Amino acid sequence: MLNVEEIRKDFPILSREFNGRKLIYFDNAATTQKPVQVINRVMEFYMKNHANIHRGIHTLSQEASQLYEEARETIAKMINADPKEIIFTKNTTEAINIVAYTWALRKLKRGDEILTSLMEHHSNITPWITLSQLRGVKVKFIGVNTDGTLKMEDIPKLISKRTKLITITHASNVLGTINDVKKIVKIAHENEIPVSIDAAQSAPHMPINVKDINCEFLAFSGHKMLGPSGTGVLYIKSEILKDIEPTVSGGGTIKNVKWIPETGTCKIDWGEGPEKLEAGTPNIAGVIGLSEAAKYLMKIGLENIERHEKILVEETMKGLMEIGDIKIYGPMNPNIKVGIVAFNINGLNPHQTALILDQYGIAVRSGFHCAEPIHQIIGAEDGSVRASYYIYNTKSEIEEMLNVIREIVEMKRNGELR
Amino acid sequence: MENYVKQVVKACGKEADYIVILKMEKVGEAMEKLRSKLKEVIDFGGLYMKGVFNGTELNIFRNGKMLVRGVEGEEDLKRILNKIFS
Repeated sequence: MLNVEEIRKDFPILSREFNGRKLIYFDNAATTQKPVQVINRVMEFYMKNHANIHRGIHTLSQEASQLYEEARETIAKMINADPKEIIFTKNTTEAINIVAYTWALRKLKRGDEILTSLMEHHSNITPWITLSQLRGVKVKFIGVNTDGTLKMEDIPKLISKRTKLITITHASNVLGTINDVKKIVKIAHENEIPVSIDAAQSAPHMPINVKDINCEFLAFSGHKMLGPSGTGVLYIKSEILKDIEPTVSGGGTIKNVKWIPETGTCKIDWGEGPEKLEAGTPNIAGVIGLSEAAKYLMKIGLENIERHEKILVEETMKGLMEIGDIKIYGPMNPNIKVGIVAFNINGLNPHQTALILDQYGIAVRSGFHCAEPIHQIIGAEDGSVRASYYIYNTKSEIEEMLNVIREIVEMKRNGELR
Repeated sequence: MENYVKQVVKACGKEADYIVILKMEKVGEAMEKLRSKLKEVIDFGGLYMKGVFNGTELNIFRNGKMLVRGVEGEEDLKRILNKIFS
């Protein structure tokens, strides 16, 4: 069990009040709040260690480089990867785009196919649709069952000899559904297809072991796991990474650039490690803050975080069902969900619900959550209200949200609200 | 409109919905204008107030936020807000 009251003391923002009420922050699937440990580490870096990394021979640069590379080791440890397989990005979106425009753009040919799903965040749809326009590849979609689970049985049917990549979310950012990515990788590998996983909603909330999953690519955001904004991670399996040439290139991505007078141009030898995909000066302070966030989460234990969120999800769904006149989307079994509950109060637009909750200091998200196709599938054309949890959320906060929802539903039933 | 409106946010949904955030120091004055210009005004138990202006539905919340539904786009929204807050 988490000691939530102790954890909450690390988050200064949670003491803020809105409209005379203490902030209840249920928008963690969008971004998480930051503990003092992360805030102080970033500040300390700027006050004590700041310099540009790599190739600087002065002591400060060496210190900064060492901290940056230690961060790579910490993140690698968190997902059981080799540090050389960790690329720092600005977020999950950029990480997926790197897979699309470095690996896939060079590897895929006209007529090749990419398999994704209808429960993806737009960030795992739009790069592939763009690639289909640039390369003439075809994007195929795995369907979603009415209970919000993936149509796993359709995957073998959708795979063809031209399928060159399966790119799939580990956990839906709308429904919370956890997909069996290990099984998907097994099916894919039986057909010699590499797999890219969007772990934006899973890596911060449950243990991830890339060696066990055996995927080729895995992307997640630092800012969704207590880290600073503008930080993200892309894992690339070493045997894939060694053959990748950067698309965004420049300082830091090369071994050497030689002027060849005979040809009148320059010859580039790309770097060998992850830095070849980190062009230019990276977000050094952000990455060091992210490392602190990863240490914080590992100290708590990701398996404890997962258990805590399942309790909160169960509490929410039970409460919403008891109130009635509410449509809950996605699986009803908390064991196959991350800490996300999407719902709508019958007859109310999701923005109306979110704005009412906002008046009580309760921060939820409303709309499509950058995942419009899944809203079409679940029949929520106006979008949904999404409550998403993290380590600092409590049962009593959920009770407060349920009390407001109960009041709204009662007013609707009495015809006092429309 | 600039005297009363702090920020406009496009909200995603089937229709073009916008969240309009009023300037806190002008909320009282803005509410008076809204009450005088809107038709079919209903107060939902203090939770929020709903009214219609030239066929556009406005939901006004007590923390100075408004949900404006069914406008053509941002220009249309600005035109409506300019008329209300003139």
